[in-house]
Amino acid sequence: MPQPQPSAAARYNPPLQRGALAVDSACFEVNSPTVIGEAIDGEVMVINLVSGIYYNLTGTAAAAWPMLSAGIPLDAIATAVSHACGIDTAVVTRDLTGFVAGLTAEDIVRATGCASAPAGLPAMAPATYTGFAISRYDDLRALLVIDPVHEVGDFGWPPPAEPRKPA
Amino acid sequence: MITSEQARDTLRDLVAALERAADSRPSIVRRYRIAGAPVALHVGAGGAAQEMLHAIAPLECPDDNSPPLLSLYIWDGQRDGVTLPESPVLRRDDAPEAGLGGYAGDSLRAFYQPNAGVLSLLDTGCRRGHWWLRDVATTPYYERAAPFKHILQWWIADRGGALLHSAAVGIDGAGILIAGPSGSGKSSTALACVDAGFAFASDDYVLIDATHPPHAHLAYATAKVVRSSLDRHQHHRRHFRNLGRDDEKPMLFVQDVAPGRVGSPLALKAVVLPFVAHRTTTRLVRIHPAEMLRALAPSSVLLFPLAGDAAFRRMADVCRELPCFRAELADDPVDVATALRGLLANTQAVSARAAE
Repeated sequence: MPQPQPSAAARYNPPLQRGALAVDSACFEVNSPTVIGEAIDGEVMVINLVSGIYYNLTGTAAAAWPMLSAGIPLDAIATAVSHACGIDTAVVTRDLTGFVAGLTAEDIVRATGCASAPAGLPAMAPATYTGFAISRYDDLRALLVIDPVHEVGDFGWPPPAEPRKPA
Repeated sequence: MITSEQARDTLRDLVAALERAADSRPSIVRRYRIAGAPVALHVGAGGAAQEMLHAIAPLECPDDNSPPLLSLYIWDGQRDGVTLPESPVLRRDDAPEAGLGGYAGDSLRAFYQPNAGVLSLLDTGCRRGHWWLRDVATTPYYERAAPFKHILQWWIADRGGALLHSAAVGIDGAGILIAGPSGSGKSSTALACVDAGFAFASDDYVLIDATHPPHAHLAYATAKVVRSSLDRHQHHRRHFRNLGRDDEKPMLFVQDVAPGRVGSPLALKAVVLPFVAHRTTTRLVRIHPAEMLRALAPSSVLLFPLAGDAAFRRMADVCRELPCFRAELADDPVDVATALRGLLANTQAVSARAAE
């Protein structure tokens, strides 16, 4: 049964969505409004507003992001990447599936129904295949916690740390 | 579990109650120009809440009868006798993860800081807001350093701008945005430039408008430094307001240090990411826009999560439109200011050649 999602119109303490570790859907969408992303200079920066973790996508991952976030089916993305990079579709599919599983586990994207069959192959400029690299940054929480001016606890983020359990 | 509808209804009722209380409260109206726009602040005539406004004093202006583009009511709950209602929406003292953190629905924005006793409300539709403080006397100093920053962020985002976690300084109306996380050297760099005669637009939070490339506007005239760096700021010692409080960052208002050089808009020419490198001379290294966005956006976005997507896009615009540099800082503040003065001169010259 699908979990209720916070609507774009009203945001109220949006719950952290825990994604599945396996990719069992053909189409995905950005987990908005919790997650925001912006393409710049051939890279994509993604921020999770709830966890405070941010990410950097480069190379083929950055090139695939617009297609993925537009809800284009994974097999169509894999075909487009394969054509643009001259790499076997099976290899791309394997890498792309792992990449999307990671994004899902990090609550960056969520599975969605495929709206309709794409009219043609998604456009992607010829490029060198670099695999689907993603860098994950969780340093900001520590930076903010040590800065008493920002009093992050009172900004509502990050959430209170869970007490450590004795070993 | 509180639903967004419950939160909305509670907040709408609260806004209505505050509007009624505002009608009967003896108050004064103070006028400001914030990011070039007329703003009216309604403060209780009792005076306590006015103490919270030193950080925006350089922006105060005479009433020229311009209709305000933001009307903000400032409350001292203790002296105004206005308390928040008992509501599960606002009750977070015992369970920080429950109750209202932030709310954004329709035109209403709200953020509650229960420990500080601060509630920020803005209706972007009618551009009226309320900044409620439980008790001015016990409100944390960081609110005095940067009053109603959440409201300012929602308001400027609605106007196509953003409130950035950055510093900005400049010369002759041209400015440099200084980005980076806390502890990266923003404040020290900004104060070094002020000491060298630069104009000041921010050491921590700066408003940028919707122009391309943007102008930087003063949000707060506050400068805060880490206590361990106080020796470098001995010449300003008498201006620090809170040296007796070990739990606070030493804070001064720059209009006390550099009167006449605070508050003018700056046409941004470059973005600089400071890096404390302990060099003999400061070195400027051109970096990619994506690297700058990684330095600029996360802290700005995460400090104001309800500003979200629009503010993030605006930050990306800034990094695309302006040349970005890493400043590997020398220990000598005079050298740092000299390097940034040179950068401004060079970017001005490039702009002039491009315009010919």
